[in-house]
Amino acid sequence: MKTTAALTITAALSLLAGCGGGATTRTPAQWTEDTYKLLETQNEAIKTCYNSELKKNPKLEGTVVVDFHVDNKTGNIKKVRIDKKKTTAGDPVRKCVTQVVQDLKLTPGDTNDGQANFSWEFKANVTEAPEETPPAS
Amino acid sequence: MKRTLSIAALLAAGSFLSGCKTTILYEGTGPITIQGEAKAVRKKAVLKKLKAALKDKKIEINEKVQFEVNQAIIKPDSFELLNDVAQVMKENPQVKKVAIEGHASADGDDQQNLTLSDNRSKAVMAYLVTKGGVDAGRLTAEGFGEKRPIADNNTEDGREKNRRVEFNVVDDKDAKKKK
Repeated sequence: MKTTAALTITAALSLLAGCGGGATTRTPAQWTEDTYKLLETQNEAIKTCYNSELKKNPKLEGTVVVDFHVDNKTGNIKKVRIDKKKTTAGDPVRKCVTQVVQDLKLTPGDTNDGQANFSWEFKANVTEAPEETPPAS
Repeated sequence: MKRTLSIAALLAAGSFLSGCKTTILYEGTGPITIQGEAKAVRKKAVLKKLKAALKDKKIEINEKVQFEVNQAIIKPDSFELLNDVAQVMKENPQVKKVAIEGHASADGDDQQNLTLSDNRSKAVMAYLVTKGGVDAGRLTAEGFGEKRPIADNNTEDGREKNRRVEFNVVDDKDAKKKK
């Protein structure tokens, strides 16, 4: 009986404490939602990077699919890896994503680690200018 | 009792074995769209050099306006040239008026040359207005026949130079003086 009580208390305390350091235990849906919110704070940074690449090549478009790991204690995003099979955009656009994402931090931490797969779709939105008219002289 | 023990044992064992955490696999439900702002792609415009240019109170043309022999009909070969003249006029609204002058060589009858050069200058004006979109009020057309040669009428080369159409800029002030 004493043994049972001790084990139960130990297990319960372990679970309550989260064991891993983070106070939150997200569901997969919450992981997705929180990660979206975090990633979308970087849209402008990614767009700025993308626009600067568009100046070099206005035809840069496509999808970038990235896998990354979220450390449960710190919330740091680590091991950012391009999913080469699903990614259609070229290197310059891929770098725009990886450089921004790998420094992000999901707060608060969580009981568990996260392993995520997210994608970005890049559209150049190219508009063609009217043909230049030559100078009169 | 046994059941309670089993659950507790499983919880404890699970916690210890897993290190108290697991890895949640998840993925985005759709892509994050980044709409770029590509600077307008300029078509590789062939920067064609105009055949006409505003210079020293004239619209200088680098080739002659071609007409059918003894007629005031402009050859299609000259349409591009006249389009360029029209473009120069549109790009230079400060040019209030341009006098289109027709000239002939000394070959042939004086009166006929005068009439032909006059008709040709008017044909050019009509083209610039109807095809080139130039305001008719900015143009005048007049033929001078063989009265104003610029080269020797005794040589073929000179006569060829004398057969010509000129586009002379006439500003309002000058026009009033002439009147």
